[in-house]
Amino acid sequence: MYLRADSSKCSGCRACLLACSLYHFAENNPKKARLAITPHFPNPGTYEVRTCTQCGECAEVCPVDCIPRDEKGAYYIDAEECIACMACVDACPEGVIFVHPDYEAPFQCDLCEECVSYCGPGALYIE
Amino acid sequence: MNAYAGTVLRVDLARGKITKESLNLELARGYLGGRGFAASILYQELEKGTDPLGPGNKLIVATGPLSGLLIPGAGKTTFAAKSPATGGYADSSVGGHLCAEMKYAGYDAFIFEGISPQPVYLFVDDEEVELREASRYWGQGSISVEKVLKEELGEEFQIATIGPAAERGVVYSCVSHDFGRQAGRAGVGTVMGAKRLKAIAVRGTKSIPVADLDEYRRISRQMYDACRASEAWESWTRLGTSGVNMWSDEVGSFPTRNFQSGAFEKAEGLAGELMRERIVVTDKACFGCSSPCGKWSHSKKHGVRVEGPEYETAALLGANVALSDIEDVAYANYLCDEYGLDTISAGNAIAFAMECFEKGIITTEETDGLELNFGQAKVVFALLEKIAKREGIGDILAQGVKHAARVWGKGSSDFAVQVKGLEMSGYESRNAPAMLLSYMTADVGAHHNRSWAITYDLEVGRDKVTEDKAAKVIELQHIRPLFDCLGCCRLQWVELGLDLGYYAAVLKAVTGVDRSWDDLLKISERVWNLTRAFWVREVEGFGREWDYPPARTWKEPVISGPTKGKFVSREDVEKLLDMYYAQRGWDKNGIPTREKLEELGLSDLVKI
Amino acid sequence: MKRVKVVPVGMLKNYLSETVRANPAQTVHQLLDGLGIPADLVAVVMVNGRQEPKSYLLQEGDQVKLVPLVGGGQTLVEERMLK
Ligand code: SF4
Ligand code: SF4
Ligand code: SF4
Repeated sequence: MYLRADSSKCSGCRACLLACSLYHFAENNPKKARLAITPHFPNPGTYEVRTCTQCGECAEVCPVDCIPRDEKGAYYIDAEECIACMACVDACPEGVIFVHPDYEAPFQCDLCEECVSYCGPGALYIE
Repeated sequence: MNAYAGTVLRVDLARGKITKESLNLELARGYLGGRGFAASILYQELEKGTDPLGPGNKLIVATGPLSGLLIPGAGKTTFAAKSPATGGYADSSVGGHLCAEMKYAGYDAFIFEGISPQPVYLFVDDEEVELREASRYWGQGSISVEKVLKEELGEEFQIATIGPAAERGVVYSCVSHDFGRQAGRAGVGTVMGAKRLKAIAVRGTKSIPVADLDEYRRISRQMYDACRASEAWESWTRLGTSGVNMWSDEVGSFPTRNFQSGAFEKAEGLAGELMRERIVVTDKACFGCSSPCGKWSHSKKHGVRVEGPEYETAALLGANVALSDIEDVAYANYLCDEYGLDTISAGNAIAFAMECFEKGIITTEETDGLELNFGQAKVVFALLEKIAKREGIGDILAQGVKHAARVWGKGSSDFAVQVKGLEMSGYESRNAPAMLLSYMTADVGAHHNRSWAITYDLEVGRDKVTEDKAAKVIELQHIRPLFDCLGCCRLQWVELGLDLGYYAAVLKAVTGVDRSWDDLLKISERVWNLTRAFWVREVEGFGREWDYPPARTWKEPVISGPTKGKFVSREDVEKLLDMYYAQRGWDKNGIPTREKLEELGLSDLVKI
Repeated sequence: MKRVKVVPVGMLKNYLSETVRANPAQTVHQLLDGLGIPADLVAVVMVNGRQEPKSYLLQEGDQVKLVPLVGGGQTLVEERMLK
C-alpha cells in the first residue's frame, strides 16, 4: 500500500496537512503533518506534493534500528527507542520525515489515509 | 481561549515598538473576529476626523475564529482602515493563507499605528516579532517583493505586500498576498503605504485550541463531504468566478464601456472556458479550500504569469474598457498586481477617462497625447502605468473617478460610476434594483460582496421595486459579511450551496459558545450599524445623499443589449432608500435611530 | 439516435425535478425553452465537462449539466439545521 500524489492536481490548500495533524496529534497544526506541500510561484506556478514512498532509506541509516514496518507496510519511527540523531531526516530522499519542536523524535506517514479524504481535487490517492 | 490565538500585536510604527496584548474577551463575544474586530477597533480607537493618510489612522489585519481550522476556505484575512478613497469605513478581505499562519504564530490580529520614519516590514516567527528595514524593497512590485521575501525567509512564511502605487498614494491601492490574492478595495493598501509598511511576513508553528475536538472534526468532515458532493463543484473549480462571465453578458449586467451598456459584443473573447483552455495552468486554493476558484494563468502572448483574471477583472479591465482578448486582460491584471492597484477601481478610472475622451470632455491635451479610445490594449496598459506612477493624467485618475469628475467637470460626474467615492464593481444594475440598492448601501461604497442581489432580481422580476427586495438586500448584508467576521470564505455557501447551519454548529464546537444562526446575524447587524455610525461620525453631513448612485442611473437608459432602454427612475431610487431605511430602523436620512442602537447594544458606544 | 442527458443542479430542480433525456440537434437555448427553464437563471452550462454557450448545438450522447445562480439567492436559514 502506498500514498501517491498527482502534483498537477494539487491546489495548495493544505487541508491534507491539517487533517494529518488532527488525526495523529489531535491538534490543528499543519507543521505537524507527515506529507509536504511546496508551492512554486510565480514561476512556473505549480504545487509540489511529496509523500512517503516507503523506500526504506530511513530504516537503513537508523543507527539504533528503530524504524520497523507495520502491517500496512509503512515504516514508522519507534519514539521510545529513537535517539533523535536525525539521520533518517537527512537521509529521506523525499524530505518527508518531519520534526517539530514539541517532540524529540521525528515522525513520518503511517498510511492512515486521512489526508486523501480531505483532498477536494483528488491529488492524493492510495495505491 | 478556544478557536482564538489569544493575542493581538500592536505595532507602533513611529517608535518601532511592538506590544503583545491579550485578546479582549468582550471583543470576541460581541464581534467574533475579522471585520467585526476591525469595525469595533476603528470606531473606538480612531479620533474623529483622522486623516486617512496621517499617523492617526490605523491599519487592522484581523483573523476570525474559524481561520486556520479544518473548515472549507478558512483562509480569509480582513484588512481595514479609514479609507483614503472615500473618507469613510473600509475593510477588504483577502483569501490565501495569511490568517491561518497568523493564528499558528499565536496572533488574532495586528494593529498598525503611526508612520514609520523609513520603509519597514513586520517579521513574525512565532514569539519573535520585529520591524525590519525594507528600504531595499521600496519601489518594487508586490509580486516581486513577495518572491524575494520568500527566498530570504523561507517558503513557509506567508507574506502580504504593497506595490509602488501604494507607496505613491494612489487611493485605490491594494494589499497583495499569495502572488495574486488582494485585499483590493477602498485603499487599504494605500494606508499601508502611507505608514511605510512594505510587507508583513508571518510564520507559526503552534496549534489552535478548540473546545470540542470530536464534534469539530465530525462537522468538519461533513462540510468537506458536502462541498465535494455538490453538483456545482465541477463547474466552480473548473472555471472559478470566470464561469459567470458569459451569463453576466447574456443578462445585460456585464459593465461595458464605462457602464454605458450591460452587454459587450465581443464578450466571447472573455468566456470562462476559453480562458481555462488558453491560459490557465494551475488551480489555486485558499487555506483549507477543497473547491479552488483561483486560476493561475500563463499568457504566452505577453510572457507573464498571473492569478486570474477573475470575474471582476474580466468585467472592469475587459468589457468596461472594451478589451476582448483574455490575454490582454491577463496582462492588465498582471500590471495591476505588480503595481498594487485594485483592478476594479483601476478599470473604472480608465473607462471613465475613455468616456470623457469619447465625449470630448477631455482631449489629447489632458491625456498627455494619448488617444483614449475604448478597446485599445496599449492605451489601457499605458494608463495603468501612469496611474501607478501618478504621471500626468494618471495623477488625476489615481484619486478615483469622483475626483476626476470634479476636475474635468462638464457633467462628467453623472457617469463617474461610484457610490461614496468608491468605484462600482462588475454589475450594471439599471435593470436590477436590488443589486443597485446593494451598491448604494454597501458600507465601503459601491462593492458587490456585501450583497450580491442580482440573482434575486432575476428570480422575482427585474423591473420590480418592492419591499421584499430591500429585505433581501438587508438579509444578504448580514449573512455575507458574517463570513468576514468568521474569517472564512463565503463561496462554499454561495456557489456550492453549503448549508449555513454548518457554520453555527462548527463555531459552537470550536469556541464552546452556543450561538444560534440568529445570534450570529444579530452580531452582523451590529457590525453593519457600527460601520454606518463610523461614516456618520467621520463624514461631515453624511446621510441619504451619500447613498445615491451615479445620476446616469436615472438620466440615461442602457444603450444596448438585453436591458436596452432600462433605467431606474429617481423616484424609484428614493423609494428603494425609504424602504431600506425603514426596514433597517434608520431615519429618513439613513442614520441609525437610538432605538436601533439600543437594540444592538451600541447605544453606549455610539453617540449620534 | 443517442439522446442527450440533462442534469439540473440546485434551485433549477424547481423547474426540472430530475434528470431527463432530450433530443440533440437543438441549441441549449431551445432546450431550456422547451423545458420551461428561464435561461437567465442558468449561470453555467456544462457539456461533457466543458462550459458551452447557450447557443451550443447539442450533439448525440451529450451530457448536459445546468448550473444555476446559487449566488446568495438561497438563504437556507432554518433552525432545524442547527440541531
Ligand atoms: S496517509 Fe495519514 S499519515 Fe500519511 S500523510 Fe496522509 S494523513 Fe498523514
Ligand atoms: S489537500 Fe490535496 S489539493 Fe490540498 S494541498 Fe493537499 S494535496 Fe494539495
Ligand atoms: S472558493 Fe475560492 S476564494 Fe473561496 S476559499 Fe476557495 S479558493 Fe478561496
